[in-house]
Formats: sequence, C-alpha cells, structure tokens
Amino acid sequence: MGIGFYIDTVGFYALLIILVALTALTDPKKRPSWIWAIPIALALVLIGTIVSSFRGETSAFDWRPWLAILALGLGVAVAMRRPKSQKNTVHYIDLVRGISIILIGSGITLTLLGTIGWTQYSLAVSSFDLRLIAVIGLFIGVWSATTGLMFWLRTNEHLSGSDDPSFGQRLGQWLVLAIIVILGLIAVVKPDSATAPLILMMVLAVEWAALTALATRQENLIWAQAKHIGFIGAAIVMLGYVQASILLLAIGSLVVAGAIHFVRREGSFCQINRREFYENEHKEPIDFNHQPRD
Amino acid sequence: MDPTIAGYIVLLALTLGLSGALRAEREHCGRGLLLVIALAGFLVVASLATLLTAGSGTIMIIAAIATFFAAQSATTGFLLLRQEIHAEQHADQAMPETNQNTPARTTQQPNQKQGE
Repeated sequence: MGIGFYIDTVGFYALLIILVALTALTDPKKRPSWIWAIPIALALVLIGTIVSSFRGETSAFDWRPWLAILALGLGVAVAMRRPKSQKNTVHYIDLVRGISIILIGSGITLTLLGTIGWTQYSLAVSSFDLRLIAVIGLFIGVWSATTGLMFWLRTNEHLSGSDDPSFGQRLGQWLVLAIIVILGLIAVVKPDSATAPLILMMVLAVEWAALTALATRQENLIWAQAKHIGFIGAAIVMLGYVQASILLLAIGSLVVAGAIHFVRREGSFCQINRREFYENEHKEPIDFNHQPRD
Repeated sequence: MDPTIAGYIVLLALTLGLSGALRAEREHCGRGLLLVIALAGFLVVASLATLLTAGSGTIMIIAAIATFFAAQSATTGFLLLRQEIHAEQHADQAMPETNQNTPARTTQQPNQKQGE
C-alpha cells in the first residue's frame, strides 16, 4: 500500500478540521482561537505519515523517520527565530517580507521535489505526463524562489526596483519566456538528452524571474506575491497527481482559489489597513498623471 | 492516478473555494490569502512523503533539505496568519465604532504633504 493512502486517510480528518476553522474564521463573531486548528491538523497528518512509515517496513535500522523529524524541527525552529516586529506596528513592508520568506522556502522545496521527480521518472520514457509535471514544477519552483529572493532584497533595500518596464524590456522578457518554454518542451520530448536543456532552462528562469521581479512597482509587490502563491497552489495540485494523494489535490485547488480571490478583489489586511499604507516606505506619493518633462 | 478522478477533485475543490468557503468582505480578503498560505504548508507533507519513501541516499538528503524549507515556510505562514487575527482583535478593542468601514487601500494623497 502506497504512502499516499496513509496521507489521505489522516488527511481527510485534517481537512475536516481545517474546513471548520475556515468557516469559524469567516464569521467575525467566533473567537480567533480556532486558528490553532490549522497547525493541529498539520501535525496530525505529519504524525500519521511518520507513524505509518514506522510500521511499514521493519528493517533493523531505518533512520529516515528520524531525519524527517530532525528536518521538521529545524525548519520550525528557524522560522520561529524570525525577528518579530513590535506588537500592533506591522507595516506593509513587514508583510511583504514575511511572504517573501514563504515564497523562497516553497520555491526551493518545489525545485528540489521537481529534481527528484525528474530523476525518478525520466528513466521511464513512457510516462510523458510525469515528466511534463516535473519540468513545470521545476520552473515554478525556480521562478517563485528567485522572485521571493528579489522581493526580500528589495524590502531590505539592497536592491531598488524600477517602475513599469518599457516596451523593449517587455519584449525581452517575453523572448526569454519563449526560449524557456522551448527548452522545457525539448527536455520533455527527448529525455535522453535533457540535461543541458534543463540546466539552461533553470538559468534562464532565474534571469526571467529577476527581470520581472525588478520591474514590479513597490506598491504592487503584494499582488505579485499573491499570484505566485496561486502558482505554488497549482504546483501542489500537480504534486498530488504524482503522489496519488487526494488531499494534496484538494489543498492545492483551495490555494489557487484563495489567490484568485485576493487578486481579483484587491483584498487588504487587518494588520496594516487601519494606518497609513506607506509610512516611511515610499518616498514620493504616487502621481498617476505625471508627465515626463525635458 | 486516474486523470479523470484528479480532474473531478480539482474542479470540486476549486468550486468550493471560489464560491463560498474563502469568500469574505473585501477587508478580510488578506486573511483569506494568509489562510491559504498556511494551507500551502501542506507542501511539507509532500516532501515528507518523498523523504520517507526515498530509495537512495542522495534523494534522501535532497528530500530532507526540501522538508526543512517546507517546514520553515509553513511555520512562517502560520505566524503571519496568527498575527493578522490578533491584529484584528487589537484594532477592534482600540476603536470599536470608528474606522470599521475605512477603505482598504489608503494611499497617501498628494495634497497631504506636510510642511509644504
């Protein structure tokens, strides 16, 4: 029995808890203590996964579960050490920074999982769809991680972004994207000689992500990040397809739906919307009628 | 996995998310995004499953790194969501009546420059 089955059986209960938390959260009268339902659900699934792997094979010394617990603990500990801003003074920039860290982490995870998927499925030449998914996952991972890094550097003022790109810049971006798509297709169709196109594709993906991330206006960063969250959701859907996990399919679709909601309806945050949006963050007020003078 | 079943599930979950479950007033949309980010923390389950079924040592190490980053981003997402919900509580306590219906995206007006 595959491990996807175990994930799903535990995951359905977890999904139930999450749905209850979701409905409680959209109701403002319910208490926000429901927030703890999400990590509890997550922990439930993790424990189920690890326990099921313990009882799976009874080899004498299998240290994969211990490695998993170690990696999990380290990741949580590092995230907890993130410098917290003083209470009640969260700014737009803090939020962008936090989501950038999430984008970097998820992007690296997707890249690594895509690499693993590629090395496992490129041997079976018949599985066209799995190879396609691995390549798309690699691209989304590299793109999201680079974008997150760029945004993080921008919010820490190591880099300065520019305004909307000119026509030539936009043309160049589309050209790079076209080359990326062609290289990815070559890698999918001809898996025997795919190493060079794949590496080239990833390098170009870094460049493309950096170009687009730098040409995003400062006040639009959060929308660009929401779009990337949507892409990550799509990647989770594809992962669910590969691992035959219904839970991941459902979660990924929910993530895509949430990102669409946020982008389409221009949502805002309680953390920041009761004070000035750009306090010491934006030098000049935005002037949409500005005409360049000679 | 059967692509038809996968397609059905994706369609159902998308409909659920788009139609009702994640719908909120406009100023709570951000919370929906953070909630969804916390849900994306389930990426950690995928990497964990890869780690636990890894066949070779190289894959095991790559999957362990992936698990580390996934756990980190999941925790960060949850902390952001918690911060958001606590911020609403504080804001409601601080100003119970006013500013309930302020426009969400308040940008600085050009004539509000001080000292000029």
